Amino acid sequence: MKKLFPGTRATPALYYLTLFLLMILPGIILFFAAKSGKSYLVYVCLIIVIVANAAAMFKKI
Amino acid sequence: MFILAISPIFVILLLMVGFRWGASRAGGAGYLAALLVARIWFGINPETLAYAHAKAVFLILDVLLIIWTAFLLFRVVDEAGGIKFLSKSLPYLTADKGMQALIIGWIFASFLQGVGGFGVPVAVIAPILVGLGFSPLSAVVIPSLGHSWAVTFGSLGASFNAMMAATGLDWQVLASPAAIFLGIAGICVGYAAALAAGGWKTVRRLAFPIFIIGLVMSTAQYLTVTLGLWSIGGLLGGTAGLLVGIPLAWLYKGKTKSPGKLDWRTLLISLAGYGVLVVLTLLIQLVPPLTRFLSQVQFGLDFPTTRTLAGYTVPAGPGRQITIFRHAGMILLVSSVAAYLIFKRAGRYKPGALSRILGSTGKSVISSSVGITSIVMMALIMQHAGMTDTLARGFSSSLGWFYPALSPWIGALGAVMTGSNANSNLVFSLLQLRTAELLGLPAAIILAAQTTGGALGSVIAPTKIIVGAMTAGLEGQEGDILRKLLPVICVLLMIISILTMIGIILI
Repeated sequence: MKKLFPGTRATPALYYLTLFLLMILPGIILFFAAKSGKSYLVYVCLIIVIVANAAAMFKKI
Repeated sequence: MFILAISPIFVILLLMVGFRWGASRAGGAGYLAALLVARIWFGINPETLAYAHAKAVFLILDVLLIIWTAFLLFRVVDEAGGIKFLSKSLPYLTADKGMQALIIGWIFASFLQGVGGFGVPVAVIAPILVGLGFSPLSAVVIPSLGHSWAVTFGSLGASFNAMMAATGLDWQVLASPAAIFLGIAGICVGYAAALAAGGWKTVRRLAFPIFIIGLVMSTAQYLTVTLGLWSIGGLLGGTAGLLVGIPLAWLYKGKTKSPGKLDWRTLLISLAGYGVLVVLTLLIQLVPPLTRFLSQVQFGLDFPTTRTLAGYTVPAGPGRQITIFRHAGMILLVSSVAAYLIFKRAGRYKPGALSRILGSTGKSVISSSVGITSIVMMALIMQHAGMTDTLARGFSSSLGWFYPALSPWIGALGAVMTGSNANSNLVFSLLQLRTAELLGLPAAIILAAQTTGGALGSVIAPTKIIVGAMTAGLEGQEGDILRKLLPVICVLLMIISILTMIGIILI
C-alpha cells in the first residue's frame, strides 16, 4: 500500500485515511453496483475493500 | 460449522489478547477470516457480500460520527485547559481516589449513558481520569465497567426499544425483569469499578456508599421504566446517583489537606461543553415538536432480500437510518462549536488553537476508524452468511435445560460482535424468545438475561475498546484493555446466569 501511495509513507494519518476511504467509498458503490447487476463493478469494489483490510493488518501502529 | 462460525471472533480475540495486536490490525485479520469462512463454507455470494458491505458502511458512519465529534469536544475543552482544571477541581469535592473513580467513572458515566449513546461515557471520562492521575488503563476500565448497567435503558432507551421491536412484546412484559437484572448488575459494577480503581482495600472501605448509591440508581431506574418511561430510565437512574453520590462524597473526603478555595467561575466555564451537550440532548430527545422537526432529514438505503448459496436468507428492510440533525454526533458537534466560542470569548485559547484542535483530532481518530470499519464489516458478513445464526442455534440446541444460564452469554456475544446492545437485541432477541417458547421457559426472564448480557458484553466490544484506548492515549494497546475487562465481565455474566436460573426456578 505504501508503495502504491508513496506520499503516505511519511504520515501514518494519511496512510490510515487512505485505507479508510478505500473501505468506505467502495462499500457505498457496492450497493448501487449490486442493485444494477453490474457484477464486474461488484468484484472490483470487493477487491479494493479486501486489499485495504489486508493492508491494515500488515501495518503496525 | 459452529467452530468455523466462531473462528473470526476467535482470531480477533487471540490477536488482541494473546499477541497484543492493536484493533486496526486484528480487525483486518478478523475481516479476512470472516470473508474466507463465509465464502468457502457458508456459501455467501458476491451480491450478498455487496449488500452486507453497504449496510456496514451506514452502521460505521453512525458510530464514527459520535466518536469523531466526542473526541473533538474533548480536544476543544482540553486545549482551553478545561480538563486540567476539572482534574484540579475534583479534589475539592473529595481527595479520596476511590470516591473520585466512583463519582466520575460510575455515577457520571451512567448519567452520560442516559443522555448520550455509543461510547460517549468512556470517550468523555477516560481522559478526565487520566488527568486526575489514574493510569490510562484504569482510566478506560473504570468508566467502561461503570456505565455498562445503564446501557439498555440509556441512550434514551434505544436498546430496549430494539428488543421490543424484534420480539413484538410490550414494555409491560419486558421492563420489570430487565430493570431488576440491570439494577443488580449496576451495584456489582460499582464494586468492580472500585476494585479497578484501588483494589480490594478500596472495595472494603467504600462498600457502604457503593451499596447505597447503587441501590438508589437501580431503584430510580426500576421505578421509571415500570411506570412506562423506559426511554429515560438510564437518565433518571444516573441523575439519582449524582444527587446521592455528591453529598456522600463529602463524607469520604480523604486525608489530604483542603487545597483552598474553588474558582467556581472557571469550573463552570470548564464544564460548559459538557453542559451544552446535556442540555441539547435533553431538549432534542424530550421535546416532541423539536424531535419531529429535526427528524425530517434521514440518510439510509432500503436493502433487498439476500440469500446465500446455502439458502440462508436475510429479509428485505431498511439498513441503519442516520437522522443527521438529531444524531448524537451532531449534538456533540454543536456542543463542540458552542464550547469553542465560550472558551474563545473567555480568552482561554492561545494563538493557533483551532488548527491544533482539528489537527490532533484528525490524527487521533483515523487509525481507530480503520479498526472499527474492519470489525463492523466482519460482523455484517457473518450476519449475512448465517454464521451469527449458526452460533446462536449451536449454543441453544446443545444445552437444553441449562439454556437460561447461557442466555446472557448469547446477548453478550451479540454485543461483542456488533458493537452494541441494541444490535445484539435486534439480532438475538427473537431467537431467544423462540427458544424460550420451545423449552417452555418464561420469555421475559430470558429476554432480561439477553439484554443484560448485551449491556455488559458491549463493554468488551472491540469498537468500544478502541474508543477508550484512543481517548486515553492507548492506541495499539487495546489488547491490554481487553485482558483487564474480560475476566470482570465474565464474572458479571456468571452472576446474571445464576440470577436467570434462580428467576426461572422461582417462576
